[in-house]
Amino acid sequence: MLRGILGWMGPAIVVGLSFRVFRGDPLAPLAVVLAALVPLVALVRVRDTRPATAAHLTLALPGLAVLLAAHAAAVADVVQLDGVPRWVAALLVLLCGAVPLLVRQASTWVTAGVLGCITIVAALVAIALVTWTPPWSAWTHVATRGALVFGERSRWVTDGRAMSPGATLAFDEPHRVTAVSAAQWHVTETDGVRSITRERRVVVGDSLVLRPGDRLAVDAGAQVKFERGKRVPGTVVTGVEWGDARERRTVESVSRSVGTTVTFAGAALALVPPAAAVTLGGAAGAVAVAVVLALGAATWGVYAMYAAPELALGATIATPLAELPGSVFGVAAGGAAVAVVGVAMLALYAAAVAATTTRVETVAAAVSERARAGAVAACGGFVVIAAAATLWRLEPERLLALGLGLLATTWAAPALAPGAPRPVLTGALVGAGLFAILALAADRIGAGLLAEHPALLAAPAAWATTMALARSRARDDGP
Amino acid sequence: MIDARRRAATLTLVGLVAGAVVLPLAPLDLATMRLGPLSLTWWYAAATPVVAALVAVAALVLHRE
Repeated sequence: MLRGILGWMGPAIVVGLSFRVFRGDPLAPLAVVLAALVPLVALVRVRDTRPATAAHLTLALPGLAVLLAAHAAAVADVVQLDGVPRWVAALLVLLCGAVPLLVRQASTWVTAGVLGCITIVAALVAIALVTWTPPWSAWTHVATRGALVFGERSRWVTDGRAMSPGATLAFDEPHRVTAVSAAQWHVTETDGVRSITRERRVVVGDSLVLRPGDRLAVDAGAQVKFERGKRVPGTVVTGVEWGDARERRTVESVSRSVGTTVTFAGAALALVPPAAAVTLGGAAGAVAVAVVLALGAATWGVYAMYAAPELALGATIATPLAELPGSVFGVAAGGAAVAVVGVAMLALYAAAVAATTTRVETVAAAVSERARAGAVAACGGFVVIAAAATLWRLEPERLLALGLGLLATTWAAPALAPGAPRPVLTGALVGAGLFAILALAADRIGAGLLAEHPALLAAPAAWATTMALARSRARDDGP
Repeated sequence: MIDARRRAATLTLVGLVAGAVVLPLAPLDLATMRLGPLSLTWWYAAATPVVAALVAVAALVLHRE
């Protein structure tokens, strides 16, 4: 049972949740609820939803591959921000994904996952103690700030830091930016009607006052310093907006909420099998891991915005977990803390790979021995592909949405409809085709919402197709 | 009986998830109203997992009995 939860609570879910909260995503509160609750729904349900044929299982496997790639990319991002070269991060990810396929003892990987969970929470407790602020006070503090500004001890103010590649900063108040390394700056000025971009060669010590509406882009790796007490450009403007985004009440936001819910819930039904009879300790342990990791990840995001809002400058999904310790504990102790968090993430990844492989293997074993062997071999291939894909710096958030959505569409939705193998397979095929079309082309026809959450349409389509075919078949068979 | 308990727990959990989707639509800015340190939306996000955990544990343990 705990294994099923660890298959759900992979690194991409944990890291993604902390980042959503950190950046003030309007859907962050919903994401916290979904991350904690949908695996519990899957645990307590009565009937399993699983592919009953080798063909249906084969169709569902790409979703699993993309999900593992999302977990791998999230881990690689965390490890890399700790100063580890990308290729080393890819090797570590490969190692932590491959060993669970060779050492199949379930208890080993459940223990690794639980230790990873405890480490994430322990680091959080240390942050709470050092800042001497409980999470709810940190949330209140941020949510009542008039503006999210650079603190006086921020390294962006004291020493300067390197900008992320491709980052462009938009300013909404006059702000003096100082060059800490020689570089080429690209300043875009807008006079209300037209924009002009000026190139400027700067040397160490040069400074420039950006006006409201100006945008600044610098070469990759160029180091800059900002002014203390000024708003962090490119982030949410105020703490009030961060805490309670008004966009939550728009029709588009509600549609996104439904899309996220369909995606998360469907994937959880695929990944987490219903629990058999359990002891009180077993049930409490499994449920606690889901709830603690979800709330813990969200709290990392809250503390990151509380202690270091400037981390939002060019932030990646890994920023809250990988950069907050440095801001709270100082460079030396922070480095050690980030290394520990990186190891915890690798442990969660290994546990997720082990759990996912066991789930697929169990489902395939019910089909045939050949399918079982094939499923395990496929998982091995996915682990290698996921590790290799980390070298391309794919976005873990996008991969996560696609992986979960594909699982919801091709695995869970058709299996939820009562039907013979053929209608289920046809439903899965229709869902997969529609999912691919929406993911690749919906953006081009202005349906960004469907491109972001293809499962919103594809999963119900897969279910409806299966239902319609099953009913038609029942009518044809007659009484 | 066991299946009925599990179904009831599943429905309760699904209801809690649905509440998180619907809450932002609450009128009169209810969702952003502050109750102590947090807004109602964030209270819901923080408390619901704990309630859900109790429901899930109860359903799983009663299943055993």
